[in-house]
Amino acid sequence: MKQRIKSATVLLPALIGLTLLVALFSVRYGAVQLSLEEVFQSLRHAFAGTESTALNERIFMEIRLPRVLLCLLVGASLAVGGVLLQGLFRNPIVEPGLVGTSCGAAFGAALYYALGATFHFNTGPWTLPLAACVGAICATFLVFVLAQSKRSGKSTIVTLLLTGIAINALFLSGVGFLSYIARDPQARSIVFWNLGTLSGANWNSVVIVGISTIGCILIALRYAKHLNALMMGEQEAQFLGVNIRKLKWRILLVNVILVAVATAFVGVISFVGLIVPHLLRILKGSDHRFLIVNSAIMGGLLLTAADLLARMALRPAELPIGIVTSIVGVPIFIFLLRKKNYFF
Amino acid sequence: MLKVEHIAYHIGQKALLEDFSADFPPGQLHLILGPNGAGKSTLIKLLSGELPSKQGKVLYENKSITTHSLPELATRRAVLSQNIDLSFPMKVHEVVMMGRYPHFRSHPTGVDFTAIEEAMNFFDIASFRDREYLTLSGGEKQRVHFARVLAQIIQSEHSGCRYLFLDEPLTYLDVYYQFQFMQLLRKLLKEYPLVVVGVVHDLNLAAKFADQLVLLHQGKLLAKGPVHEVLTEKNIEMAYRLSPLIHHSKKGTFLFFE
Repeated sequence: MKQRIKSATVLLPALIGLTLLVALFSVRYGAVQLSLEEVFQSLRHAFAGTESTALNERIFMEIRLPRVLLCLLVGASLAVGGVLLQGLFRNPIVEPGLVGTSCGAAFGAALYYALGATFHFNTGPWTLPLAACVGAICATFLVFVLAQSKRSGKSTIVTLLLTGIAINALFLSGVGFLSYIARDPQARSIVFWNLGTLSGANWNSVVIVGISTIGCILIALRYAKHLNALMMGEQEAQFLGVNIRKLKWRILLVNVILVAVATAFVGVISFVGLIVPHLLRILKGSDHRFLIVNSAIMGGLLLTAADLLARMALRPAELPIGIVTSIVGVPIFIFLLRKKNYFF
Repeated sequence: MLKVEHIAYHIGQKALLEDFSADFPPGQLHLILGPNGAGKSTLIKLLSGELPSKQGKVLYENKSITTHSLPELATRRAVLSQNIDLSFPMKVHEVVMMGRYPHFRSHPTGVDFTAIEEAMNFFDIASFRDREYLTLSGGEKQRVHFARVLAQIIQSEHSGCRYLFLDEPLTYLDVYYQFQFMQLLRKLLKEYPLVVVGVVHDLNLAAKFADQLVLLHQGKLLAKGPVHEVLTEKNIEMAYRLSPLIHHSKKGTFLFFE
């Protein structure tokens, strides 16, 4: 495999082509099948600024297209988050949610579901993403504060990692408690949210996740070379002029924004952030500039494909996307791990 | 020229290094000797700027290292440690290119490629430039890192001295590699304006290759100067609590322990 895909100049166009293909499939198929003509027709209408009244064209513009775009963006966010955290922790088994981010988001969402119905507070379209985002940021902040050493005020990577695991466990049990005391429709909602769903996609979420994803990826690219140097350890990176303290906080901050915003809109989707950087390392190598760019595309590709599968498998019902990413991702992952050209 | 004036380092009440002053002129191989806990690593860390000295000054060409920023320092000073491993797979030439990171923003330029070619040729690793670093043997890995630190300090825009610090880089290597690297270091000193200061454990290796020795004992300077002045029976007995047989010949100084 390594021999076949010699350079990134082949891989990247191939990934982009495949992504476009899957995206095209994804906008066409679902509970209602759209023809290519209808797709192009509604795109023409959109560009001309005229609103179409045809039902299928509205399905495309208001449901399918934002959903596919959100898939691409969320996939990119999670995969790049995975690259950043794995690079920072120098550990290939790290997930972007590990510093508390996704479990915090899940807890925020669970609070919204469990208490919202009881106290009847205003449940506009922004309450849920906001609750999840606040939960994510609180949990991550808690991890950072608790991981700081009392003596030096610094936190080592290992302490951060272990504190993250502990806080994740705490917030997950919080989610468990809330779904235990919640009544049935709410309890089910909590479960569904924890498995991830893109059914709530609309243009607002596309714009917000889009700003966070693209902005954060551009910032992350500036630290690609620092993360490469970090592969040799903190000390060696420092000899190469990297300010470790600054790097650590910036990478963590970028990761939290990426994951918190994406999770806030679609729920907890695991495995994408873990598997995509791995696949790319096996295909090509570990240069972080390459990993960030290609993970962004491949993450989007994977999530779009998973979402298509989630909608098609039990049509017209929809599977939670988290189930699909795990069922499809795990066998691929294990297969690749067992190939012998894998070094760590 | 590397000049050190009255540096010291304490942790709590314990002095790891006391009042150390010395000059390290370029073009010579300076090696630091001493038993475990004598302060060798502390000294090299202070010289390279990894640890900030609370007293005294470390001067690179009469400028204190505290006036250099971390990235700026990295363009003229390189440090090589022992046993460096990578957390993820990388190709050999990619690892050598890491040495150029202080010199470019996001993409390497022509001068960076020239530098890594020069460094890879010097340490004779160009033939396996496309191999995976993690599949190399210990000796090959250390050659890659020698090339990396060399690439870091050559082909730089500012003129003047470069500083290379070696923190026991030969510890896990066999005799063949230890000799080979020492010979390459001597060749390096002839070709580049370099101040090289290293820590080694092996007294005979130091006796054979060093121009100047620094012998530390319990955080204090015991002796410094050319080999025959430092490696005396009295100094060795004091530092290592062993009495050596010292044999001087045309081929150099050799130490034996009973």
